[in-house]
Amino acid sequence: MALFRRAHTPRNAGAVRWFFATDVHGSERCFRKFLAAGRTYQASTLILGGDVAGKAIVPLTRQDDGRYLFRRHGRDEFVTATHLDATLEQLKDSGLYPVIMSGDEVARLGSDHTYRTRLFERLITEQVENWCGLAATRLEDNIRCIITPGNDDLWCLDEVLRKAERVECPERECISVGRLVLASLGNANRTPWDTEREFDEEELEAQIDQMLAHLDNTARLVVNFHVPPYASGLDTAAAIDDQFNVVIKNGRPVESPVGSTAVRAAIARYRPVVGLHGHIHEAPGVWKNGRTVCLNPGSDYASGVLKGALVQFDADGRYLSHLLTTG
Amino acid sequence: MENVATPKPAAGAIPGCDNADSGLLVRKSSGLVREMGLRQALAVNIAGVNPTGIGFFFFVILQGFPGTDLTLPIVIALVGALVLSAVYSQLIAVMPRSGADSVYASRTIHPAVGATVWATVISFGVNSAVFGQQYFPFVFQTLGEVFHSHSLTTFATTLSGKTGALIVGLAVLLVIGALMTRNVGTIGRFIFWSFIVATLGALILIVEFLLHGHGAFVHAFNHTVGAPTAYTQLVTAAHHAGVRTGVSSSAVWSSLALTSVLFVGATWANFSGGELRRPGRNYRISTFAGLAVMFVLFFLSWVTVEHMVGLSFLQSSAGLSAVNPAAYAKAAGSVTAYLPSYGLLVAGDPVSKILIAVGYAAGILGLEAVFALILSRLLFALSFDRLLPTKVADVDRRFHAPLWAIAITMILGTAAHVLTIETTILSVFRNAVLITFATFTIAGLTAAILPYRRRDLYQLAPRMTGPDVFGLPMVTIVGSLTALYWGFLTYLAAVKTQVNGGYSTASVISLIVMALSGAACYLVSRWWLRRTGLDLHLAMQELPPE
Repeated sequence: MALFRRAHTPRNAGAVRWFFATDVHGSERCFRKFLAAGRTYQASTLILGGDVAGKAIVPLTRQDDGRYLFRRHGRDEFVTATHLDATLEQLKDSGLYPVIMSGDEVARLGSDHTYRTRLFERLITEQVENWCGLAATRLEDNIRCIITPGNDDLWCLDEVLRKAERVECPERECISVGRLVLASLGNANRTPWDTEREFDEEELEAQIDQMLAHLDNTARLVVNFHVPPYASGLDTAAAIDDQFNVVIKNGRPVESPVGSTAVRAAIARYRPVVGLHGHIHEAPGVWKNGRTVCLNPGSDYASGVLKGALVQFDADGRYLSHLLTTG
Repeated sequence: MENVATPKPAAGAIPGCDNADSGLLVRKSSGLVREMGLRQALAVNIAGVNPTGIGFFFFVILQGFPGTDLTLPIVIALVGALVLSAVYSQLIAVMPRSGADSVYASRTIHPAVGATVWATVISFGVNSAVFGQQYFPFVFQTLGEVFHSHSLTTFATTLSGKTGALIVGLAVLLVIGALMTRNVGTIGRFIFWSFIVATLGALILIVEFLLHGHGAFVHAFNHTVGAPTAYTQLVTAAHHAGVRTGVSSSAVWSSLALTSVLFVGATWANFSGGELRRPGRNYRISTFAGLAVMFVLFFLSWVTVEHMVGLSFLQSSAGLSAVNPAAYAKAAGSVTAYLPSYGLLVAGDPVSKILIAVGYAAGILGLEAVFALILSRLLFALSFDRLLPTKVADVDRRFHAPLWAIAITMILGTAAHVLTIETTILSVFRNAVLITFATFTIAGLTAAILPYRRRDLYQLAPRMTGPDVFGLPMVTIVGSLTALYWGFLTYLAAVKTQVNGGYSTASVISLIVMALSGAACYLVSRWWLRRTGLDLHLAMQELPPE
């Protein structure tokens, strides 16, 4: 019978699994799920690929009757002190920063740009510090946790992440992860929103080259570039006019690729095995370019759902497969 | 489907400006919106219960259940559809993804159950996608009569033949396929306007039924047939052929299963759930509004046609045309047993006749577009979950639409169409309606256990069915009622030949194959992926936030 048995090593023997998620935008729930992904998905490396910080503050003002007033989904809502904590949790889970404040303070935040910016900095920094603390207590020792910023993240975030005990922030660096090399870049090409980390394509290209040009062998290279490659299908978004309205032509929104040409050129030039991207929440998918498999898991952070991608590599660091997840 | 939704500044995301309505203080950042609004959802839902049903389903039900009166079944079916819609509105609020039942069952019960559900939906959709061609001869026949055009009536006769039906069906599929390459907003508008035209035709039909008394109809029928007692002769011929008339409670209850089918289309916007803005709310409003509109149309149509034509005659003509078409043709001449043809008999002016006929065609086109939209989006969702090859989920750069999913939908539709015309092979799928009812039963069960199986997701989502009662989640109560109602209908479908189409060895085998094909597909995909060390169940594995 032995004649008919083939002695072979399974393709996945000694395989390593990474979990990649992106664009959680301040959602407490999504981040907690991210930390649980290592154990649940049996992933040895967790990567959060940018746009970590939230985007909006929800002011709650105390009323004379002891209730708190805030607006959600465009409607006034009142919450009693008894249910306040639960409401605050819900708002945080959706990626919002609920803050109890007076009416005067709300007015000042509306008119004083500097004041508002400082409050955002404080809230974002506090949240990410808390998250890093949570990572230290929750992550198993054998799981690596890598968090890099995205174009929507304030610059001050890098320092918080770099100081963290159990989190690595190799922004604009190449690091070894087992047999693989991970290169990370959170900067993006220009957007209509003039966000925190935007550069011209030439500048992006230079930043990428600075990271990758010295690599002798890119057969084990994984790029964690927040912005997806141009015209890859992972970057399809609506065209927007000067007033931030979606451009409608012949009764339909005009859609166009908004990814980075520099990222696309880098993928063609350096031929990484895998590209991990985010940025465009509503364009999740897979794009294959030669040997490179580019993934954008998309984002649905406001629903508290963590979209992600599992990537399986063999013991030698070769790409085996992937799976887009909804956790 | 997430990737056709379009990023743009979220409310208040314009740099330096807050949207007063949002109540948020924002910083410079990018944002997103979902693409399909209330109007598009309304269009999909309403077109799913198309006014075309007035002409088609009433006739089929009367044929299948001799001795029924549809007044009570229509009311009960509305209640059944309302609880089902409430269940779906909660499920879509908790899991706002395209793919409907397959997504809910996969994530709440087991992926294999979800896969089983989608296989059924696909088979149902493919079968349904080919019926449109059957009704175009009626449209051209009517137009020919109105315009006294021999060419149009000849054309209608040509379309009634095998070749004509084949060409018309393929042309319809081609038009719908081209439409599917547009974005959901455009598709939604097409469906919406189809519905408007179809509803206009239906309303005119109701008005004609209402304005003309029984005597006027009898006179018009006798005149058209060319015999002074044609009306009575048809009823007599039906009696001689063994067609049962009158009302029996058994027939009324049994007909509930098919009558319920009239309304289930009102739930179909959940297949595009991932593209809906404020999914739970918009879905609920659009569904309830759709049901309300359709109830009024169906109920009024039935009551008025019964008043004008007479129940005994309706039952006789439907029954006789089924059991003895030759005798029917002899008694009724060129008058078909479809209800709109009775409206045309009494309609005096050509404009009304044209609108009735054109409304019929518009309704069919709208309904075909709904089927195609559902199927292509379902295929996309399955591909995204890796139950189908990833290629199916590719979104074309130029058209911004899942062209592979659309192409597969059209190929399946074309194959089913050709097979329907040229062979009888598709009759082996006649028992599929059984699993369709079972699907809704599963939806009820899914909702009933949702707060316990997916507590974290449920707690985060808005409550769409109402507050808890004595600590019991309302969705559990409504879900249980839904499961009971649709479970009962599944039982009716299983035991009533008129619903299940009759059993044969081939049909039972195909039923089993259909039921198991989804699960088999899941297992094959899982095995394939496992070779690389990844397990498919992880795609839907819930991550514990605590």
